[in-house]
Amino acid sequence: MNDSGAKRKRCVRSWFEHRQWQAFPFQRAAWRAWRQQRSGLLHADTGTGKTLAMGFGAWQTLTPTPLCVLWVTPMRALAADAVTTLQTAFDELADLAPASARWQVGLRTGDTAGRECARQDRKPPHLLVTTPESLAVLMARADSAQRFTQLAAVVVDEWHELLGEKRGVLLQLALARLRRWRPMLIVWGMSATLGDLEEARVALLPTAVGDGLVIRGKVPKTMRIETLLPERLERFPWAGHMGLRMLPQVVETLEAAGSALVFTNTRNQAEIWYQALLEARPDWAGLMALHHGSIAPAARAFVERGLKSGSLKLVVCTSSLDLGVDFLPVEQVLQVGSAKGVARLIQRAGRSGHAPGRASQITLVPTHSLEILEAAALRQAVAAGHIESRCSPREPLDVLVQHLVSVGLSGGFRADEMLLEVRTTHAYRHLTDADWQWCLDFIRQGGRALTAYPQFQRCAPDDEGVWRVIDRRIAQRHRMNIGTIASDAEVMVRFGPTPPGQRLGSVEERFVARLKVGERFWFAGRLLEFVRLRDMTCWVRRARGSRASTPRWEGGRMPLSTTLAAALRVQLDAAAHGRWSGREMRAIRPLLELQARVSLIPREHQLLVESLHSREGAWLFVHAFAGRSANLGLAHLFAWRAAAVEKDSIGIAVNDYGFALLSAIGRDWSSVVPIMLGDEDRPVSQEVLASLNAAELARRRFRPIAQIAGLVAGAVPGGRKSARQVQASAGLYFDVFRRHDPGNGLLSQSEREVLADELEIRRLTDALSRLQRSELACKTLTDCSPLAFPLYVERLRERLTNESLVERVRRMTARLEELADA
Amino acid sequence: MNDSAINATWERFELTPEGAVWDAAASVLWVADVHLGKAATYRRLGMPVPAGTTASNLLRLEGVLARTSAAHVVILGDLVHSRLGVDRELSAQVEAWRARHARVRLTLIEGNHDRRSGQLPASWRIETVGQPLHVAGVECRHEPPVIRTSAASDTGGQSGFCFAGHVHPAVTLDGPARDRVRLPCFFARNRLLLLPAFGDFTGGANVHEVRLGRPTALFALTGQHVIQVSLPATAG
Repeated sequence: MNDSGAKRKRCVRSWFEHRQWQAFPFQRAAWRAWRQQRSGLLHADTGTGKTLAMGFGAWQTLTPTPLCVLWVTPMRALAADAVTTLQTAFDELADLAPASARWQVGLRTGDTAGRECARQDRKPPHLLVTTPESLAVLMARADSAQRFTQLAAVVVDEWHELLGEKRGVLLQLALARLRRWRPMLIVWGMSATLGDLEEARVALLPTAVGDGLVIRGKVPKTMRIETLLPERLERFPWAGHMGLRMLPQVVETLEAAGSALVFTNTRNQAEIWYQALLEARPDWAGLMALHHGSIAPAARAFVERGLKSGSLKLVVCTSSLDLGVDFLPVEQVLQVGSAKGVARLIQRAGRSGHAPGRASQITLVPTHSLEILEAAALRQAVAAGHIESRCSPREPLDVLVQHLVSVGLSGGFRADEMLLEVRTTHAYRHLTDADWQWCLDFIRQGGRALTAYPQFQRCAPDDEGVWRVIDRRIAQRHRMNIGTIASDAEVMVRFGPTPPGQRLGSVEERFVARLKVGERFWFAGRLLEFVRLRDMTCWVRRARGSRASTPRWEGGRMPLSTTLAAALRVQLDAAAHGRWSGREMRAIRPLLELQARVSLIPREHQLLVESLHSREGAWLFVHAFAGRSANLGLAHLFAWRAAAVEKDSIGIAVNDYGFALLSAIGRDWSSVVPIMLGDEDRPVSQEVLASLNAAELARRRFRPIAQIAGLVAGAVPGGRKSARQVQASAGLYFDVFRRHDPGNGLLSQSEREVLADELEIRRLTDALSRLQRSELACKTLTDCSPLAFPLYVERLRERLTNESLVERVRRMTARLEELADA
Repeated sequence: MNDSAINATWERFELTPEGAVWDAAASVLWVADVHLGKAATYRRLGMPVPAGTTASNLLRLEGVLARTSAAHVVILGDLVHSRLGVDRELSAQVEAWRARHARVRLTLIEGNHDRRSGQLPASWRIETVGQPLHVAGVECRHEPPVIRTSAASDTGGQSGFCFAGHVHPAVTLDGPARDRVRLPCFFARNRLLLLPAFGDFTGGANVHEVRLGRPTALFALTGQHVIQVSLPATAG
């Protein structure tokens, strides 16, 4: 260490002394590593001082030059927060060491105004806080390499959030590129609780084998999990309905708390709960706020400031507040509906009780009866330290295609060098030559066959073998669509049009398309009246009353983790043995006793299968307890095997606990159950793939892939034209590819993704062999059992058919005539 | 398309599974909305739609022609998708196809896409006319006529038939076990008939969104068959 380094180290120490704080050992370890110019992964929970560990590390080690540190965060809300924290701390350090250079911190996200971007381009800040998408845009400019000549370090905040997603892959590719430009680049990741830290480290630091440090932060606090129990248990565990039934208890709990966060799993649910709470306690208006991803950035920032200053007593939110935003810890955290996993529960619970020595506490609000069991299961998993792992996606070609076109825009690439670079990333380390060639073919001519895509060209090698984008229109459209967050076309919601007023946020175009002029709906916690849709803006005015719809946003449904699913089976087993220990188990006892009367409570080694004939057809309920994704795969496999015995069109409904099959031909299910289960010698992945081809799953999965690969332009809220007006739909592409280019790499990717992510094939295989070893218990129901009921009312989202269209249409026509005759 | 295609009958006409209408007595065949070169247009704009849709559209037309030996084909508009798509390659494909059916008379009722695409190559030997055109007692149009709501006008005040394209009607059907399919269809209201889009790479409008009143008959295309279906109760 040189003199100035030592001086800066003393500065940091006196900064802490001024506050009468003590640096944590992990912070000192991180600073030491920075001074040694090492890279690594810092594993610490939110609100424990990670930002200072990294920020001060950079400050002590580096001389501030333009754009010497990139600070990448997964969320825009976090970005603004990081800027404030870092700039304040740097300014204070500079005051302690007047001789040292001052650090300028800048912010660059999708929300940053054009004027500010231009200012940054002229005079880059020393440290730039940005998102993976904005970084990708920055790197897709012609002069990118020159821009980053001073870059010394990259810090990735909340890496665990990015790791399992394509956004993280986009970042892996960006890092590979930055490392190529700056071989000595220091890279640090910060991550919260994860089951598999090594995967997180390797994905971030693939080239630093053995060198990437892992520093463990403060040990998580102890945690208490409580459940709000309904006064009367409903006979049938309606999904979603019991939620609001719990309103009085929730209000009571909130009254007792000084401040609270109410987490919901969807934006729609957040809107509904906000309304309900406001109706129950109108006096909380002004003390209460709503926070979710579709609300306008300005409004979100307002809520975050309110949380920080303590002026808000209560915020209803979604995962939008899972991360970062160092606000004051609240007294009470409520989770409406299943937390789905242990890691997420710990993270949300961590929002409460930051005071030293105080336990964090989370109160679960079950939305249907079976969720009552989850509290007991979660407690068990936390105690055992079972936390889910996250893995980087494996060679997603859509992201690579997008990246290659970006590089083609920023000075171009040579194919052989680029392949080496791409293979240095964790996600593409096993990229095959064939897949690589397909990507090159795709950007050059649209596909593998030389003649298949005449007139199409996105990127091509010039005379010197450097791949570049030539067409200006293609360049422009590509820059607009960088990113991997696929979304439906969204429109901005705004007061107006005369005069144009406040922007409230964005909703899916599909929702607005169904609205009639004058129709009312809830959004951002307000009752609005639809005026008109123009220029991709949904103009609204304030409305009065209470009856109105609430927009639903498409969003990923989190599957129940394996850990939690297994723990649930243990709870059921106890019930089957007549052991009712704990408040939750006692509360759910009447329901499970009913289950035992009309059917049976499955023991741990049993597979319960129930069949029921209704007006709609013949139902089969399979209580596999494998989590939503694996249940979905199992359902497809079972339907496929049944349809092979006798041609059928089978509707499929799935939840976390099991799945239901509904036969259109009214078959007798019990005879095929053993065939559907199969035996252990039959490999399943080929069969599951085949079953997919008979289903719509791969087709639906194709939508985001088409968007990332640039087939379908993404949505630009407030943009001039609807994405739908100028584009062919992803579904149309899917069909045309299937017919005219079945070898298309994006098609096989959608199949792979369905297998790996949506159906979790490994988990599915494990679950299937567990079911095969289980003792089969088949029950014929005359009425729905409590376990079957949630599946019975769940929408049939999937369908598998091996009948011809004409057979299906004939049956439909016959039915319509029956109805007409009746 | 092979010989196993099964037609349906509507009034004195046959409806083919490809979406064409055939009048055997007059030896006239009607098709609508072929949208040749739509895929090529997309490719020119940088979207990788595979080639093959044009070839398969022409092949299907060839199939109906082979079965019917029609003397006259009336195209109810939107033969080509846009100027961008009409290139040498498309021209060559159409010319080759034309050479195989040199004797057929081809008439195009100019549609909105045709108007923007400029003149068709002379080598295609297609006469282009404005709507309406009367052929074999049928008023041929691209856009359907504006239907007045008074009851007397249901037949357009005349006894003749009227065929139109432009709308690309499709119907969503529901069945047992909440089965659901969406299919292109013929839409008939009294003596007015809307043809499904003949083209491969085309979307469709739900029959409930067709602002011509309730259909009196619907015929769905299922590939090899045309099946008459009843109007579903609600929109899909």
